[in-house]
Amino acid sequence: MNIENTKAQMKKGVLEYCILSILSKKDSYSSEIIKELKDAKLIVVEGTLYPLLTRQKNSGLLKYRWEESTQGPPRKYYSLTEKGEECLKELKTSWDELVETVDSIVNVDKK
Amino acid sequence: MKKTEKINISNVIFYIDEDAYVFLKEYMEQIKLYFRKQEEGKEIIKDIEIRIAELLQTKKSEKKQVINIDDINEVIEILGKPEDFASTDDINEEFVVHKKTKKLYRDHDNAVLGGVCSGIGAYLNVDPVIIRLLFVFLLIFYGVTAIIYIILWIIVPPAETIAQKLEMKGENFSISNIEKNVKNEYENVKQNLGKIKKSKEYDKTRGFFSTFFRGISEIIRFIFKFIFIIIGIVFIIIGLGLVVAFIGTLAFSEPLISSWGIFNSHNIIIPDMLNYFVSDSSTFLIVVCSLLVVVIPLFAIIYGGFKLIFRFKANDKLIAIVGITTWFLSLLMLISVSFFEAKDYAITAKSSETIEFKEPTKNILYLKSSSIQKYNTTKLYIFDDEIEILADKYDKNKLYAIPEIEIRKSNSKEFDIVIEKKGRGANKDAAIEIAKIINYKLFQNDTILEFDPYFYLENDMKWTFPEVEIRINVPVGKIIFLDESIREQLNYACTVESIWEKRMLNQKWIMTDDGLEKYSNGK
Repeated sequence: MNIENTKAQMKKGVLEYCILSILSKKDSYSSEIIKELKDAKLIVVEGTLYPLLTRQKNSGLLKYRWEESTQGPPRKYYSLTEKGEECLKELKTSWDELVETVDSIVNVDKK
Repeated sequence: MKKTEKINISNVIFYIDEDAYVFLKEYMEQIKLYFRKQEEGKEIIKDIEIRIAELLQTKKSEKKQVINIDDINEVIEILGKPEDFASTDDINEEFVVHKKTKKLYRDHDNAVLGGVCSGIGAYLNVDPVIIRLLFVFLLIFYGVTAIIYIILWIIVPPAETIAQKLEMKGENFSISNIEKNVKNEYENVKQNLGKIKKSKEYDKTRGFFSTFFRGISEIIRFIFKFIFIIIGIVFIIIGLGLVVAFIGTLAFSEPLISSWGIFNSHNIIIPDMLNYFVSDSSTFLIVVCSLLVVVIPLFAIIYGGFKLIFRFKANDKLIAIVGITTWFLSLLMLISVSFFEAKDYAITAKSSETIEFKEPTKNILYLKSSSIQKYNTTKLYIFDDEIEILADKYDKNKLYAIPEIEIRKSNSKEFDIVIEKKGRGANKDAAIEIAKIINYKLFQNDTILEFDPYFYLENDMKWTFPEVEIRINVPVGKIIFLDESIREQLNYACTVESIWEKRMLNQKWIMTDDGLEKYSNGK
């Protein structure tokens, strides 16, 4: 078993949830989202994020607007749609449940 | 010094080192390839491009205008290679790098002579040594091989950039390959620098033959360059010479090259000459168009010469198109103007008049020309005496021409003199009009018939080559004396024995039934 792969799979599962959470706090453009995820060591390279954002946008969870930037090209500012917020709520519930369940299993093991 | 490319990422302009550009281009191609299969691929690629532009923007500063390979490396590190996405994104697990098509280049790095063999080797994936042996082998039996080699040397481009070197080997353009090659390149440069420093050691390692061939190759290259330069210089000299000669002919009626007698007053410049025969606007058109028609090909020769010598880059296609179009238009214009003008000469019309002539009191008639001094004419030459025209000394717009005198037998008992004037014009009326304004006169003083030596057109009319013919019909038994002064005018005389008209001057002739016969007093 490839342990790196497993780790990556685990991270990948929560990535979408994290993106929605970040955007629920404030509208951000991709680099800001990336920075936060990088700081949390959830992603290593930025290229990972772009397909996720586009896919979430296409499935109606996110919308975006263009904003001029003082340097470089204009930026895409993402924000949650209603559907996105509902999705976030759902994900939050299942995440909490998951943490609880996993925790109970892991902690039982430790005891 | 480094070559720089100018690129546009998400509508932002960047100057980027060539190697960095190859690197970035390859990265983008891989990204595109990776996301190609996904429906949102295009959008993702666009987002990534925006991000790249954003990141590169931060690398630019007042002092550092150009993006280098380190910047690109950094950007790729931040964004990640497609291999890195694959772990978190399972759509494109089987990610294959596309194969670039192989291309034939000359391999300078492994060259013995011109790098042709090593290039072919790389192309065929065969050790160049085998190709070389094959070439040498063929050279022994077929001398043509040498020519083939030289032709290949000339037409096959050398692999100079990293991309070309990879293309030559048909290696995948993967990032790691590029990286490898870029590193190799630096190593090479370092090595080369080292080689220059320790060129003796270099010679030893390369071996005698290699250096020998390299030397020969340098010499051959030099000879080729030299030949090209010589050809170029010859082209320029020929071109410039012809341009000067032509403009000289046009403006000074002299090919300046042959003799520098620009201010020879007897010569007339061609535009002035044209003025006699065609309208002013046509003259201008003819001069300009013929200038273009002749000079454009000459400029092409000169340009080619400069190109051979300096090997500069230029938009040859555009220049060629503009040149050829202008040339054809000028030629067309020249033809149509000439055609249009020629129409004015199309129709010839005659107007004849019989001169009132009193029979001379004696049996003899003296034919002479009135004094030439009456006319202040000057001869003008075009094309170095090729064409001769007569013009008034003080008014060069006034042209003169010489009438022609013909002497025939008269059917009656009396002299009969007819002046026939011929004019040319676009139609009959115009031609007759011209014929009428031909100014020509004869004077009779008993036994003396005096001709005007010249005729001219009234009112400075455009010269349409009018003609004047004077027919003198001499009755049988009458004597005529042909004075020396009509040498130029005398054109024909009906004689018993054929004799050159000029030989008949200063002599008396008697008309017989068979024509003129020499008259001697004693008879």
